[in-house]
Amino acid sequence: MHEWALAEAVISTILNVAKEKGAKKIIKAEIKIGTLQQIEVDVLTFAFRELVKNTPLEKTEIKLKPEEVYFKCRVCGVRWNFSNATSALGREKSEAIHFIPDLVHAFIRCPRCGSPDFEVVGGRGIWVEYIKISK
Amino acid sequence: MGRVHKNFKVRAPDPRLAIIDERLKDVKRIFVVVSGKGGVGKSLIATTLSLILTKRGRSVGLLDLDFHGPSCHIILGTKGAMPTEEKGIIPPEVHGIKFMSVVYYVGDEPLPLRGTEISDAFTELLAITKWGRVDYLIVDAPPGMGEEVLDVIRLMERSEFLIVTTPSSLALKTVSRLTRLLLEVRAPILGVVENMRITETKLVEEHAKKFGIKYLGPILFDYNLEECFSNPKKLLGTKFARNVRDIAKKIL
Repeated sequence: MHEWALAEAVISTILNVAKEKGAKKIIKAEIKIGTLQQIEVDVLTFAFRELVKNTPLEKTEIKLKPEEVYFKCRVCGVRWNFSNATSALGREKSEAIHFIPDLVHAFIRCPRCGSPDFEVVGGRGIWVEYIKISK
Repeated sequence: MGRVHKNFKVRAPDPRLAIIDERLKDVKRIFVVVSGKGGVGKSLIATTLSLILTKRGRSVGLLDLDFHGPSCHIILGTKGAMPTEEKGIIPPEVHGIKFMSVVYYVGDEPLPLRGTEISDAFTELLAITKWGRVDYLIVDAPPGMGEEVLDVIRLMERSEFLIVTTPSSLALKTVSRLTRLLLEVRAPILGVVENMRITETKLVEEHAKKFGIKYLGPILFDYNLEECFSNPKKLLGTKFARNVRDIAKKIL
């Protein structure tokens, strides 16, 4: 149900931007979903459907697009992906990353040099890629 | 001829920022316990103040913002407590305090975060935590003037700052820098607390006078505090807690 909180945040953002830009109509919004946060797309879609009721977003096309996350070691430069890194993590650690993606730094290390100093490249959380409006 | 409607693609800011005010809307006052220096007693003061306010029948939230060295959970004793999920994250009540910390999720693991990662983790925490109706949200900030303090200023606009120092010129040098920063950004300062006083000195009072901020009084060094951790009842019976009560009267 944490997805509900994320959906609320996204909807508030779209409505704020549309208002700021003086939109007559919000035609489409593209939402990127980083794989690091392991968002349940079905739950998120349901939350959007419920939350847009009686808002200017009721007829807006909301497109959800996943974005793969990669990690890059700041020490040796190696890049690796999330599924390789987290397949061995248990439920509790995965859940921690689901709530606060940056906590991944407590649980994984560079597969080549073992450093904890790595960067999350793209695909961290949820963000609005763009909004298409008419004026 | 009908009016021509033009379509535009526009960028949007970080969605988490749009929901933070909503999450904090039922929080009446936000007190942020800060100090430039580490080891001056911020966590103990933040936790004890939370317990005192709870004892007085106020609803209190406590947020441990020290990602690298959280310690409020040790002082409070949070064994077995975990947040619950309900369209967001609801902090568990520990001794009557709604307590939130990353420690629930990382336990004793080191959390090596760099600046922007700290900022991201803090923003996420604020965006998902549902405090509900709270009279006081006490925030225990880490030492320094890094991401956490700057983000509190940026994201929690109603914050009031409680500066903690020891009566040492070493601590006061750094605390002076922090005081200058807070004054520069026009952040409301509740005052400065002189913690761990062993001998009579006017250093902290003079500091307060110099910067035109309130001197909230001393907290005498208490040798018995260590044995009160995870035992709020015992903690509230200490001389330390008595001094924090006197300070609380001046800031409420």
